[in-house]
Amino acid sequence: MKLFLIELRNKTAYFFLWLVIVWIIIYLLNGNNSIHVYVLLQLFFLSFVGALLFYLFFTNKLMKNKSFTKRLTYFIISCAFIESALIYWFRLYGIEAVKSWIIFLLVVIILYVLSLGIFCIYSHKAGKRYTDLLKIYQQDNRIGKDT
Amino acid sequence: MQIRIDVQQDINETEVKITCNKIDQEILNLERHLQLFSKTLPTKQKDGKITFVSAKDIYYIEVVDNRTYIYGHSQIYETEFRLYELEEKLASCGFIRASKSLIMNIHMIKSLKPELNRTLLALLKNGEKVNISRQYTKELKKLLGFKGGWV
Repeated sequence: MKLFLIELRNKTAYFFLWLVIVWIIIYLLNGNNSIHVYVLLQLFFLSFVGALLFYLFFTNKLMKNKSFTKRLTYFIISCAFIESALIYWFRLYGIEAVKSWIIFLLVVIILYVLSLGIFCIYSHKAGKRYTDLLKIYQQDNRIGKDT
Repeated sequence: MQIRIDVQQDINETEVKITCNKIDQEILNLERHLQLFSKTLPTKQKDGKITFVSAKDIYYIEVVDNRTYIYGHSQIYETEFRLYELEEKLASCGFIRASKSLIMNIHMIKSLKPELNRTLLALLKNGEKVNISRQYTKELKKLLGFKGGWV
């Protein structure tokens, strides 16, 4: 439970930071130069929900033995749906703000592609580590070495 | 059954000779165990001839339609051994499980690459690619001492 709360706190803070940056960009694109404290509180709540979803999809509590791609896809889809509902509920912007919704959708897609890209780079590095360890193993356990 | 060890200083290779009055199942099992002990496997060719393949020349062994096939550099042999028997006997030669129907020689792997679905793709020295399923990736990670997160 303590670990869960620590994870939730860290992830909420992380998401909140990025969400505020994204929101400021959206605000600036829409010509607004200020952000209300109430909006910040709403963003904090969104971050909290996002962190909760992250914990559910990226740990073995809910999903066991699932690949990174599947976890990421489920997370992004559920996040996009729930966050859209919360955005609408909080009236951060209404259905008529097509431009804002398009930006939101683009951000979601870009984040998804970016995450996959980063994971591919990480996999490539991990592959090198695997191969290096394999070479060491092969050296240490050659057939005929002990026969 | 009597076991006799005859030590001769002048011979180069150890020879095991079975003397019996008839070949029954017990003798066949004994022969199988001895063959596996010497790390060579009897394989059946298309023309019915029996040839022996050394474990160190095997890339991987796969079961297809309940038949066990041994894959060498460019040759394929068939054997009457079951996969679990081979896995057990060849474990000391560096054979590992890659999937439910495949065991592979770890010494024949050239490189390993993690895939997005958490499996590992093993590129063999003969250019072939073998997929190591998620279930057995964990065991390989442990064997190699790999500590990682999602891959």
